[in-house]
This record gives sequence, C-alpha cells and structure tokens, in this order.
Amino acid sequence: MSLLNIFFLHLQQVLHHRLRSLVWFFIPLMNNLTLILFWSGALKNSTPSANWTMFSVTTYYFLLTIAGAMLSSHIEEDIASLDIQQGDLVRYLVRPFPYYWIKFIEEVPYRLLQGSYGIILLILFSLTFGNLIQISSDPFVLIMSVVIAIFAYFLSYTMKVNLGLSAFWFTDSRGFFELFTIILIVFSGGIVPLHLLPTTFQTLSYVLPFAYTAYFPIMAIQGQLNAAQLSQVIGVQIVWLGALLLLNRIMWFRGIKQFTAYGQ
Amino acid sequence: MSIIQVKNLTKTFRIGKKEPGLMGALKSVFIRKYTDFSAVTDISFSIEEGELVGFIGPNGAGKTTTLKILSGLLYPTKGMVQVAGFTPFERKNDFLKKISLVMGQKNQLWWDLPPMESFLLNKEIYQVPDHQFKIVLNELSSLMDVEDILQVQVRNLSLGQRMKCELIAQLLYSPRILFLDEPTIGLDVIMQKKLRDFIKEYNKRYNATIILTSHYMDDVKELCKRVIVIDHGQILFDGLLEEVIKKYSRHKLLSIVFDNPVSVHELGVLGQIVLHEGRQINLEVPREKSNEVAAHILKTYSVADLNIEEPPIEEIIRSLFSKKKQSHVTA
Repeated sequence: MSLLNIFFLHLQQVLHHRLRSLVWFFIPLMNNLTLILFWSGALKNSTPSANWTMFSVTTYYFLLTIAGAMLSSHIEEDIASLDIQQGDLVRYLVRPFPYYWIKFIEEVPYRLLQGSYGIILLILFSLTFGNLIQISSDPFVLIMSVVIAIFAYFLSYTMKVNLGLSAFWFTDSRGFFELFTIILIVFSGGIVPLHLLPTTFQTLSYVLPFAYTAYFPIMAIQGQLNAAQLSQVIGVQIVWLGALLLLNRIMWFRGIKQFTAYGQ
Repeated sequence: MSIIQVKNLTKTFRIGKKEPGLMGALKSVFIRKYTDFSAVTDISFSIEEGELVGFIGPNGAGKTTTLKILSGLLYPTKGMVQVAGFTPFERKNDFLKKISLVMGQKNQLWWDLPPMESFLLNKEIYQVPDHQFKIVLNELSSLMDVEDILQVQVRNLSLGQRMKCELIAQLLYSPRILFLDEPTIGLDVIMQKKLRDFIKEYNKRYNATIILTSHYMDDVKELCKRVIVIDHGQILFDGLLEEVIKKYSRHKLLSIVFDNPVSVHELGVLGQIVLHEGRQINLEVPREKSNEVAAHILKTYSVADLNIEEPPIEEIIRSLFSKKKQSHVTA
C-alpha cells in the first residue's frame, strides 16, 4: 500500500508536467515516421520479402515508438547530473528507502504516461488504417509479450541506472552517454529490425542485452516468436538482468564510498 | 551513554591538481597529479541525548563534512563514529528513521506541488501511521504558523515559508537527532527568530539532540549552551559558550556615560578607547583589571552610567579564527 501511495504521489508530479511528456513522445515518433517514409519509398522500387512488407514496416515502427516511450528508461542524466554531480543524491541517501527503487518509482509514471500517448496513437491509427497494423491476438502470446515488456523495462532501467552511476568516477559523462545511446539504438533494432541485418551483426546483437529491451518485445507482440522462442527471450532477459543488478550493486557500494556530496 | 560519539575522526579528499597554462593542460592529459586534502583531522567529541550543540567555524572549516559523516552521507577515512548506537555510513533504515538532516541551502520539497504532497511522501517513506502523522503535522504546522499554505504550490511560497515547510517535512517522523546545516540562511531577522524559537521548542518538547551549524552568531547565542569551534578541520574549542568568552577574551568593555566632558587623554592611560561619542566612551580594559578601572573612574569622575560588558561573541570568535590563521601562516 505504501509503495502504491508513493507511486501515486509521483504520478501527480508527472501529470503536472504532462505536456513535457507529450513533447518528448513526439521526438521518437517523428524519427520513426521518417523511417516509415523511407521504407515506403524503398519497398516501392524493390521486391518486398515475406517478412518485411509495408504492413510489417508500419507495425514495427509504431510499436518501436511505443517501446521507446514506455520501455526505454532515460534516468541516466538525472542520476549523473542532478544526483551525483550536483549533489541531490544527499536527499535520497538520508531516506530509509533504496535508491534503486525510489528512482524506479519516480520514472515509471513518466513511462506509463508516454506509453499511453503511444497506445492512443496506435488505436487511432488502427481504426483509420486497420490493415496496416499487425498484432497477435493469441492470449498466450499477449501474456508472454507483457512479461517480456516488463523485463525489457527493468533491463533498460538497470542499464541506464548503471550508466548514470558512472558519474561517480567521470566528471563529464554526457559524451559517454551519447556513445552508449547510439550503440543501444543500433543493437536494439531502433534503426532497422535486427533480422534484416547481416548474420554476424545479428548474432552479436542477440548476445548483447540491447535487443531484449525493444526488438524482441516488438517481435513478441507481433506474434513472430513461437512459445520456445518467447521463453528463451525471457530466459536471456533474466540472465542479463541478474548480471546488470550485480554490476549495479558493485557500482553503488563503491561509488557512494567516494561520493563527496558536491554542491551541498 | 552519549548519543553521538566521535573518536579520532579523519576525512581526506583526493583533489586533482593542474599546473597553470597550456603546458599544464597538456601535461595533465598524460600525467594527472593529485593531492590529499584533509577536511577534518583526528577530531573527537561526544554529545549527550537532548543536547543542543552549536558547531561553528569559518567556510571550509570542516563543519558540513562532519555533519555529513554523522548523517551517513560520507564515509570516514579514519576513526570511529557512532550515532544512536549505529555506524552512520551503514545507513540502516532504523538509523535513518532516527535522524534528520536539514540543509538551509537545499530545497527538498517538490517544487511544483503543494508542500502537503511532500509531507505525504515522507509519511509513506518513513512509514508514519496515519494518526501520528495527523497529530505531528497539526502540532508542527501550528507551531510554525503555516496551516494556510499547506495547499499552495511550493514555487509560490516565500523563502521563509519554504524553509518552515522544509523543516516540517524533515520532522514529521519525529527524529531524535537533528543535523541543521545553516537552517536560517537567507531568512530575514523576524523569520530567523521564529525558526530559532521553533528549534528550541522542538528540542524541549521531544528531548531531541540537535547539532546546528550557522554563520549567524545569534542562532548560536540563542540556542546553544555548548559550542564546538572548528577550523582547518581541527577542534579549537569544545565547551560552554560562556567559557569561550572567558578563555579567548582577554578584555572587558567598560561602557561609560559621563555627566561632564572628560579628557580622552587621561582615560587613554586606563585602557583602549574604542568609541567616543559626546559624553559616551567605551573603554577596552584587561579582564583582570576591569573592576579596578571601573572603581577608579567612579571615584575620579562624575558618572551618569557605567556598564562592564563582555565583548560581542562575534568579535571573540573572529579574533580566535584570525589568531589560528596567523599561527597556521607562521607554522
């Protein structure tokens, strides 16, 4: 009950900034609409493959927009800049509540609000151009997709928290964050779906954690993974989450020992 | 048993150094030089439950570093620290529920929401039962006189109102130990007084242990019987405030109003004239001779009024720090 109350209090804060969320939602939407435009031109002048038609292009990029808004955490800048470098971490450290979870509760309402913009847009688009959106109607697939989506968010969140914690050691983390974001976008299928990439690149991306934050959740809800593949995705997500949480604990305990609470 | 115990505490920071100019910048690309800076060095003190202690010192003296170590924010380099039976840096939940750190320069309330929402958040985080929350909130908001602003956005409150709400947010769970770092900074004199009255009342009502740092000597004079004077990371004095005066002030101030004009030259022999306005003269005399000089003046001149005063505490502290600074320079 207490957790739920804390969540609702943070939701109030997020609702106060609802327009900011909407603006941030439009940025990935514009990027993805540009990519849809690009593919519509590309597919017009070439023979479409069986698994990459205009339908799957539209579905993929719309779902990518929702995944980007709902499942992709952006907490690293807050942690690095405000909490560690400007010293706001002080107010979290003196509270009897784990930092990892309080930041989680702070961010989830943002993701839900931005995700809901995406879902509203998807519903409107489906009602207008119904045949362009392909989503599985199998209840098993949908349930597994929700599980994969939850793990995807935890993966993304833990990755970004760890990235933010790097500010304990680096005074300027922005360049590092930008570099990481580019790698994340490419390997999570943020530019093109991973199955269209060369085999070596595909193999590498399936080993890294990034694909499990966006690409696989999209594939799952589109019904392009069978039961065994869905379970395998969840298994890999759990392994990566375990490794990232371990790294998180190490970074946290080492980092706070040298935290100097600058600016306080 | 003391509620706060500090033994041989040292905190050292590693600071990067760069030689000036372009060559220095190029060198630092390949070889970084670091130096150790000791914020506090081998300090020891203990504080009993219910005490209200002033921690005073100039900027960079080590006051805030000590408070941060006591509240578990910083990891000590050396030494032993125990607060309410806990090692602060372990930051156990039971420890964090017993302490509160209030920083006058930092806003912990949600800026866009009314203070009530931040209070509710702290209620949930500190797991304060509903009935206790209501009682404490009513008590604190009436003591602070902020009942009318609890529903107003924090961004629309004045600095004084914000500071009051800040304090309430930090006291809702009735902490036993308060670390107040410059709680009256930036406030006008009326608001400073109100805040001081509140701190005094909280200390009395809850038998709370309070450590206060402040640059305003009025805060210290009005609130603290005991002071710890710190400079360059070392404790210069730990004891009653009045003892600072006795120990570090070698003079007393005779404030005299004469019936008739007197010769300044004559009085100058008895002590140092620090003020001369009409018939009012303030004379600084050695502490041990103050009674003797006063008696001589009363016998020799026609006096309308004479007071023997201690010099202002600000003066004493200032001279204490400047003496220490000189000794550092000499050393």
